[in-house]
Amino acid sequence: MSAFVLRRLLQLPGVLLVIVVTTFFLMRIIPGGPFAAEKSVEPEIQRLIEAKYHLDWPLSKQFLQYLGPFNLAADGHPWFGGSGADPWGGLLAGDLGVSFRYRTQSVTEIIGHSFPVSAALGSLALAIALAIGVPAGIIAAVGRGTVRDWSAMALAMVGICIPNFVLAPLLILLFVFRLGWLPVAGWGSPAHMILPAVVLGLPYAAYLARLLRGSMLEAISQDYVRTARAKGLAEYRVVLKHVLRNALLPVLSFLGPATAGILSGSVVVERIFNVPGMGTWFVQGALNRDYLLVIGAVLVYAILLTLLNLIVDILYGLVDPRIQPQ
Amino acid sequence: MQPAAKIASRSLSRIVFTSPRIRPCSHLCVAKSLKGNQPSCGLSALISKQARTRGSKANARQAPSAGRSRSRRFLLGLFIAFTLPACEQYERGDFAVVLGTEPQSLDPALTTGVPDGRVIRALFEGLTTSDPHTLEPLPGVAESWEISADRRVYTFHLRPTQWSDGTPLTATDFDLAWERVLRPETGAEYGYMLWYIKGARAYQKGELKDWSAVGTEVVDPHTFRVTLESPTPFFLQITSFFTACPVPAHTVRALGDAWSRPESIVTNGPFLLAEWRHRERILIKRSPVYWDHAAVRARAIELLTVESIQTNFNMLLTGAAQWTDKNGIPPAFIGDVLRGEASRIRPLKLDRRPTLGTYFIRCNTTRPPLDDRRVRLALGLAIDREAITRYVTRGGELPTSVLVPAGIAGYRGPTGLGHDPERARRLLSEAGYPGGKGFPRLVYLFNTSESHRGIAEVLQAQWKRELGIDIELENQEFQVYLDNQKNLRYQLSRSSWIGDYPDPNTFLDLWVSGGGNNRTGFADAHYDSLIALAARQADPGQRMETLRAAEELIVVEQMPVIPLYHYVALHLYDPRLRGVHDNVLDKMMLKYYYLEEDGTEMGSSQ
Repeated sequence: MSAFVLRRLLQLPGVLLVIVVTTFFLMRIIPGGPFAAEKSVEPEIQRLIEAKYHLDWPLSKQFLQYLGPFNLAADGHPWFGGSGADPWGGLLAGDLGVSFRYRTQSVTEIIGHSFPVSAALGSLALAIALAIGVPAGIIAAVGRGTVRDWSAMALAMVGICIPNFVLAPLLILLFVFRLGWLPVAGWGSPAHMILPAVVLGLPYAAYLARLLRGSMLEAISQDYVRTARAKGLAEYRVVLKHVLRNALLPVLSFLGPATAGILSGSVVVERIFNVPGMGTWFVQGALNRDYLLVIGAVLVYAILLTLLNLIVDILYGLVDPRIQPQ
Repeated sequence: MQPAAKIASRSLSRIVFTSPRIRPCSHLCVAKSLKGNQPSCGLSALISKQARTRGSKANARQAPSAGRSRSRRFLLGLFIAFTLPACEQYERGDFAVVLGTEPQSLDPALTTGVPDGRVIRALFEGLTTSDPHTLEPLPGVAESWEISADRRVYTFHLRPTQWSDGTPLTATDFDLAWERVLRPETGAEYGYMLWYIKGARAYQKGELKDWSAVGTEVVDPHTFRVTLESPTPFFLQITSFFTACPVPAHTVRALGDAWSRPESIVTNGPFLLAEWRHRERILIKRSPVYWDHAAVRARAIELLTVESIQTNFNMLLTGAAQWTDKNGIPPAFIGDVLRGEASRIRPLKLDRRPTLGTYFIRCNTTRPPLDDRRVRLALGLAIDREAITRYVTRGGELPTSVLVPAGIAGYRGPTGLGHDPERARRLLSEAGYPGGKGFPRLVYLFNTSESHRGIAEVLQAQWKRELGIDIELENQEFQVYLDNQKNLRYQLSRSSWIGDYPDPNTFLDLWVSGGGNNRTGFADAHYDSLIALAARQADPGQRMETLRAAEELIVVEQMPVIPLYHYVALHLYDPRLRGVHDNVLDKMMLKYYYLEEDGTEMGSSQ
């Protein structure tokens, strides 16, 4: 097992490198630039601004500068003709670079203050998704073909079909304007977290419920369930210990990427509820051609995704001892 | 170069700058409602509730073994660690203002955005300031000034004032600030605001290396002399612009560009920066050291950075914000707001005022058929602008066929050509396309947005109806659109311009040959000479006449751009809010804002 984890962790840098290369060059293919604005700047000034951020270098050199660990600029490493004042820099030196638009902030800082917000909101949303989705799935599977099943699955279908930009205004209308229970938008208190977390979590809950119902129905018809029932186990123990446990695998493989997505922020929910999370920075970064900010955000997402998939693979082994990670 | 580890270690606790006055949450934040603002309530209750539900769910499954309870405690701990950053007690302001998008920076030299300018004007003060109503220059840090007879030398006398850290403010702070704006390495996009100063343009372009050759002079700590290239009647407006604000020489020298970071910023204006939570809000507080602090009545103001128009509007309707401009009035609701429907939810006041902004169409004059002025004139004459403002924009915009909006003292612009489909058809057939026959395929480019699309569709229909020509519409993402416009890869392109200072020149010097903002390929030697002549003329009356002739050349004779309408500013705010600005530049002056506390208007409007 530890060899498996180690091997997967060793693969991580390679995966990240591919992602960095792809993102870096994709961003640069798009027309426009970080310093293009409606009001034009004299070409000389434009060139000076771009030179300040090394955007005048050949793309390959810019990439090497971003990758590090050597600083290739005039004050950089002596190996590359620099003065040696600031020899190191770039990704490999732990530096994600600066934001071109928010010129006094570094990408590391932006991620540092926005990721915890997204993660906080995402954790609550995930908790909501699990708290609703798992019981709903169990109820539907156990009472297959009954009113309970139909109503749970109808609700889940609605949850999947209603996009969050429709759900959010509906909930705002009800809980803010009609009932006046919750603040309309903003951040800074648990009350502010509830609506965005619900909007973010409900579609996941709906999806989880359907997924769990399907895999539980499959497990329920297995021989070991009949055996469990035959030996006189209480029904709830049959369901929870034998059926649910065996039905968890598809849910787990869904939860890995879903958690990465939910933790790294959703631009729609963040915009509607004015949550200062990472999703908005990411999308605005792409719109503003804030190259390094976009790569930074993509990296965070990639690392999250890879790690969560790894965790899912480990959990597979724990849930179902027949599966041994290779 | 910022090591990631350092940041990561701080990231779970709040990394956003927090002023020392704000207590971090003790997990027992008491529900606290502020004048109807958002209530903030306890996280502890939520977490313990969460713990209970999670616990009971597990209990139902089976009796928890020791290992399970450990892993559950671990999960709960992880959950709390993740949700913790959300729990901090916020210090509230007297009221909250919707600022717009997240400011890029608070460094006067580095930034260009409207929201940035609003904050910088609250935190800093230049040599002059503006009257919030008339924009008349008022004394700022300079308590008086003299202008030489040839109107090229300005001598400013600075009042004894200090920076927020107690350091005296001197003429050197202005000299350094302006040098920094113009220093090529700074890359100040608004550097051109200072190009009226002798040698400034050459200095920013790197052609002039010696700052002492540029027309600024520190005569003594309280006397600052500025020599201009040519008489510039609006120079005292420029000195109130945020790019011309002073910067604290002592901290800029010590910290470089990091001087303006929230934790180290030193300011000289009506307010101090108390807190900046990125993409969330900025809190400013009245400065005790500001020379005119008696005139500042607000104790603290929250400036909310919000991306979504609808969210802005909701915040206003629920009392979470007390002021917004057009960024908080969704186009779909503009009719309701104008009819006062919004006040049925909450008493709100609406102000509507023309501003110095014009929406127009750029024509690429380098390519047929738009290289023919008759075609451009035909397109312009065929447009019924009333239909656009009445049915598409609906915010009370003023239909126009000229570039310079009304409201600039001393300027009477030309009468535009207006709507004349008959003449449009005649011109089009003179150009060789009678009834639109044989007219080549033309594409109208706009950046993706609902309202731009609406306008484009009306134009398309009107040109088809009046001239019998087919126009294709193409929308592009903003940066792509901008790139194509700058490189003249378009035929017709939706455009707009917001004046920088109340003078016709801000709308007219755009169209000089080869100008960076021209982007139409229009080049006319006579026009260039008119703009150059206006810059030299010391007599205001003659100068305005020259500018009028220049505008006439654009909107009546050549029409490289087709004006559609002038913008109006919409302000929607709590009726208790006082001191709201109402000038033609829509320049927000937070110094004068305050909330009337007695609440009589709230009662009376029920």
